[in-house]
Amino acid sequence: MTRKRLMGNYKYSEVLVTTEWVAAHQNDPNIRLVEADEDVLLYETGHISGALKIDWQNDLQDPVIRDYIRPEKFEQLMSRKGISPENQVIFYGDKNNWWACYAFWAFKLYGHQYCSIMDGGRQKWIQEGRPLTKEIPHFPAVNYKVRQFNEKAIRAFREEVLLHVRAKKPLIDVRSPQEFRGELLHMESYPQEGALRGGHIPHAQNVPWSMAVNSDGTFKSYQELQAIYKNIAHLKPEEEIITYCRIGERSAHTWFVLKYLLGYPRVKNYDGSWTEWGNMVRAPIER
Amino acid sequence: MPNLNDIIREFQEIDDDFRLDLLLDYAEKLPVLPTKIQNRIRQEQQRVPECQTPVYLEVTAKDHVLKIQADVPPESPTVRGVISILLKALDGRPIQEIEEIPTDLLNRLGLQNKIGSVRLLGINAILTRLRRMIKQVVFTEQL
Repeated sequence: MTRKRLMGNYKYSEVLVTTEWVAAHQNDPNIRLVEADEDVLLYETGHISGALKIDWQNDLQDPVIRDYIRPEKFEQLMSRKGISPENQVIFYGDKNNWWACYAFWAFKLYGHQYCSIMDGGRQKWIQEGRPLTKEIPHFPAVNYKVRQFNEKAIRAFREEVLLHVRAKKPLIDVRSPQEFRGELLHMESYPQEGALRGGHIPHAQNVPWSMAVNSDGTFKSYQELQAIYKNIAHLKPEEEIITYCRIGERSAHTWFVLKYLLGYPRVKNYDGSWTEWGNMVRAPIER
Repeated sequence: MPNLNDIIREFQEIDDDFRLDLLLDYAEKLPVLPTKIQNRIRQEQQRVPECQTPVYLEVTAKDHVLKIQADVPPESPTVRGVISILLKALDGRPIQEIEEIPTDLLNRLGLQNKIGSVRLLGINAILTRLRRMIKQVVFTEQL
């Protein structure tokens, strides 16, 4: 087993590994590298040797209902890819690891125990001049069984968010300030946000996800993160906290920071996010 | 020079499993812009909102021939592929032959399910932008 404290003084520092560490351990039999990108073709242009592709939309989401695949489907996916429940899965991807964090969160829904993020993601790996390959790895199929479906602990649904708003519990909107203020929705010739109304959930605080990262896409230090979330946003570790964005990917990034780097135990990601809330009849909105 | 329908047929005829590979072929063939233009573009792109792919598009006409210049970052091969298809079909074509980009282009290419519904929003927005730019140039040329 190669799980050990690897980085900094984060609460659960084993969830973050460096590019150097991945380069040294990418062939360990217990490791499965997984690339998760926004762009469906990026993996095919080149990826880290031995990395499997997991697509957040085509692999993890149900093709018909707006939901994640059922646990049985996840078992089939893992079995096919050759990922066993004992494997340490290391996620990395494009766009500051948004989709890597999203995939990490999804794997946690299905109770996969050992998940890590490669700090700095794809961009850092490439900037360091490390090699990519187009070769698709194949691991022997396994018989994966979901031990515990973990949805209740880390996923928030709209009813719960409504109660959360009424109780004035902390909500973190991690989108850009323009989206938070409901301005982007009306920008000409830019993609519509997929919502009919713009603004934010009442009482939500705007703490853009980008505050948690350095310019090279790596996470800020424990002390810096504490300063942002504890001292500026005044979050208390023991509180129930819900994060959201537009479709739940950027908020999975902040969820990861709060839950694993700072160790707040009760953080949930509202994956319905603005594309649900901004379309819901009578949902309260602030601007 | 293939027109848009030829390329649509090419996508429809290929086996479902290889359609994304074909799109990747197109992505790799997107012409590279001169460095000078690229540098200017990169500066302008600082303003593009974070969720979106910074795509540079310029549509002009010279001697009644359409000219499209595009720059899409290598990290966005899907968008590169779609733009490359349109360049191949429309760039350098006489104005009177320009066909309007169908609003359901991705569906006709058989890519709708391959790319996934959430991603389609962004790509369709870029197509809307390009469609409008071409319309304006074609309209001005025909005055």
